This record gives sequence, C-alpha cells and structure tokens, in this order.
Amino acid sequence: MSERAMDLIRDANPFPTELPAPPIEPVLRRLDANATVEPPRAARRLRPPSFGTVAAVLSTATAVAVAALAIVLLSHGRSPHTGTNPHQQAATSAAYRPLTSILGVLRRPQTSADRDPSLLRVLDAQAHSRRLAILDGTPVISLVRLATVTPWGAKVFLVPYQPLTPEVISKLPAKEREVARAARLGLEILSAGTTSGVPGVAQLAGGRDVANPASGRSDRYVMVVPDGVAKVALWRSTSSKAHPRTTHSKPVIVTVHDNVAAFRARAFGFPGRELWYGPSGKVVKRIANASSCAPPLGNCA
Amino acid sequence: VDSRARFEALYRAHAGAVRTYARRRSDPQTSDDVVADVFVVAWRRLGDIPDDPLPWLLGVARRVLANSRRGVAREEALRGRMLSEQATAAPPEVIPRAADPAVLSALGRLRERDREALLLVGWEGLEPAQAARVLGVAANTFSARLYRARRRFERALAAESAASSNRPRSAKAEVL
Repeated sequence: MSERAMDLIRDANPFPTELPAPPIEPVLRRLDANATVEPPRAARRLRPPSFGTVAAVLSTATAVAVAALAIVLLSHGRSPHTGTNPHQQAATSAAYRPLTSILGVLRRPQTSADRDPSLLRVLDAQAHSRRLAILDGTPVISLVRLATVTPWGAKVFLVPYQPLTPEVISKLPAKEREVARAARLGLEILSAGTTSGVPGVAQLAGGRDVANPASGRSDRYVMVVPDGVAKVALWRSTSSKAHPRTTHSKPVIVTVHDNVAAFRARAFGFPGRELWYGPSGKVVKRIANASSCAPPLGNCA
Repeated sequence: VDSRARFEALYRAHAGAVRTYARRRSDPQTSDDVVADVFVVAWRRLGDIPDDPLPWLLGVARRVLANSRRGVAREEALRGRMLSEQATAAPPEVIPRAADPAVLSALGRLRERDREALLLVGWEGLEPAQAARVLGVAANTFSARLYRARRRFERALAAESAASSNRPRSAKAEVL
C-alpha cells in the first residue's frame, strides 16, 4: 500500500510540471535598493560591494508595508504627521489609541534610539511600493519604538501601520480600493531581517504577532503581547485536530520585557496553544490556537 | 561580477522549482513573493549554498512560507486583492490540475511535518536525502518520518473513503 499511497499523492499534485520562473528583474531591483536594518554577521564576509548592505533588510521587504500614502499625500502637498492643526493631531492620536492603549512600549516618549537611521532608511526606501501601502497602510514613524534587544543580541523594532485615509482610498482604482479598505491599524515586528507581517489589534490580542527569521535561524522567535502580560507559555502548533500534540508537548515559558517575548526553541514550528500570565502569576488569557494556515492544504483550527 | 553571475545562474536554474514548490502550497501572488524572498536570502548567503542548491532553497522557501502565513491581516488583504484581481484582467496563470478530493483531504488531516515529508517526495520529486536537507534533519530521521507519514496518510485516506462511502447511503436513506 505504501507505494500506492505515494502514487496517489503524486496523482494529486496540482502542478505536476515545473512552473516557469518569474522574471529576475524585481529581485535584482530589491538587491540593488540601498538600505538595511541590520546586516547579518554572516553577510559581512560574503557581501559584494553594491548588494551586501541591503541584503538583510531586503528579506523583510515584501513584508514591510510602506508609504504609497506618503507619495499620494506629498502629491497633495501635505502629510498627516506634519500637520500643525492641534485638532487634527488630537484626532490622529485617537486613531492610534487602540494600539497605544494596549502596548505600554508605544506610550513612552520616542528617543533617538527608536529612530534608528537604517530602519528609517528602510521604511523610506520602500516608499515607492504602492502595492504594499495599499495592502497594509503606511508606517507611523512617530510611534516606531526600539522595544528591546533579544537574548541573542538582535534589536526588536515595533512599527505601527495606519490604513490609508478614506480620501486617499477614494482616489485609488476600483480594484485597489477594496484591498485598501481591508487594511487596519496594525503592528509589525522588525528584527534582524525578520518580520511578523502586519496583524491588527485583534490579532495582537490573539497572540498572532509573532516573527521568526526566514533565513535559517528558525529557532528564534519574537512575539508582542499586550500590557499586563508578564510571562507567556507557548506550545507548538499542531496542524491536525485529530492529533492534539499540544496537550502533550512541553511548553516554552518566556518572560516578557516591554511587551516583547523573545525566545529560542528548536523545531518549534508555529505557536499553537498559549497561556498568558499576569505579574501575579495568574493566567490572564488562554489561546487555543494562535496559528494560521493557508490554502490549498491548510487545516485551519 | 562573479557573485552576480553565479546568483543569476542559480536563479535561472532553480527559480521555477522554488515557485512551483510555493505555488503548490499557496496562492499565485504569495508564491511569487516567496521566490523573491528566497533569492534575496540566497544572495545574502551565496557563500553558504551547497553544491546541490535545490534542497537548501526549498528549505528557505518553507520558512518564508511559514512566516508569510503568520501575517493574518496580510493574508486577508491578499485574498481580497486576489478576488478583485480575478474580477478584472487576471494575468495568465497555470491552472491547477483537479485532484482527488479524498487524497487532498487525507493530506490535510496530517500534521504539517508528516504532510511536508510526503509532499517533498511525492510532489517535489526529491530523493529522501534531499528532502531531509530541506527539513534540516538527518537522512535516517527523514526516512523514519516518511515511513510513519505514509502509514498515517493511509489511515487518513481509509477514514476519508469510509466517510465518503457512507454519505450517499445516508442521503439515499433520507430520500427513501
């Protein structure tokens, strides 16, 4: 039966022949872009002169949603962050409140360490990416924070994103309008070439803002949790409801610093079940399954 | 210049395979993004890429895909964009072949690591030693995992078949 099983699996291959390669030009453009968050140590000895300094950041490039809004707004001669009208500023602060009210690290004053020049260059370098801005909105530079440094020495930046304004959305082509409207206030974790995507406030509260590197260090994870969480216990996810390994495996216990839980765990995969503990040691939240999945084989819990 | 030429040769030789791997597990846009991400990593670690680069590249693709799946908001936006793009002029896209739903369903019931072991061999056509490198495990470990995964797949498929053969009977009973 085993060979027959493999034959059945082969027959179920949705793409039995190799697809053509996508054009190389977009990749070369990304490599030629001139910015970086933190060049990886390994890259220093490999780095060719024109590409190397950008390579670490560029692994985050598709996930860093950036500032088409800035382009559009500049074309209209104003920026939401530079407005002098106090009423407008108050309204803007209120717009970020869902995030700032649950993340103390965003409420502290911004320092020069938060405005890391290389990080700002990254955000600026992506400003031409209209597609990403439509997807995730634009970064709120005034709320960017260097939250912590992980035990393995990587800086963890938190970058809030705001959706495009209704005025800007209304000027987009119809097919992009729907996508832009789906964007919401969210938060991205950026750390040493790692990104979390841009989950919204609800996903943050559900334990889904987790980043881990895509460049071979899959045992390193960075997670953001709301105020009042002092410690997190995470079990690795299971993709099968029929085999709830999460109930039998050992959890990873992580102490939270400045809303960030950073941990290393070999062969961890996705976080599944989570328990969040308050400062007194009491459980403040239970999450059944923090993982997500994707088609065509996703087995969503 | 040598590095650049080597990189471009690597891309020409393997970008299609990486795209196919990603496309078998995600939507068209995500798969193209994965290819770009994988080769950005490949450029950064050009000196670390082994002589047989495909398992290494697929290993990176696997982790890139895993990361992209965590961005729930991004996924939702992508889904919205896919819908809106499909409604307008969609670029020519290779149509996935229709597959036995029972087999897909049985695969979907497996744990991710079991499923990936089966798919690396069954869909990507890798030798067990290559598949082991994709997953970053020893060849013997992979062989054992593949053996167990096959068993679990067979059991899941049998359960699927039993369930599907029961469905028409109960429907008929309702009609009668």
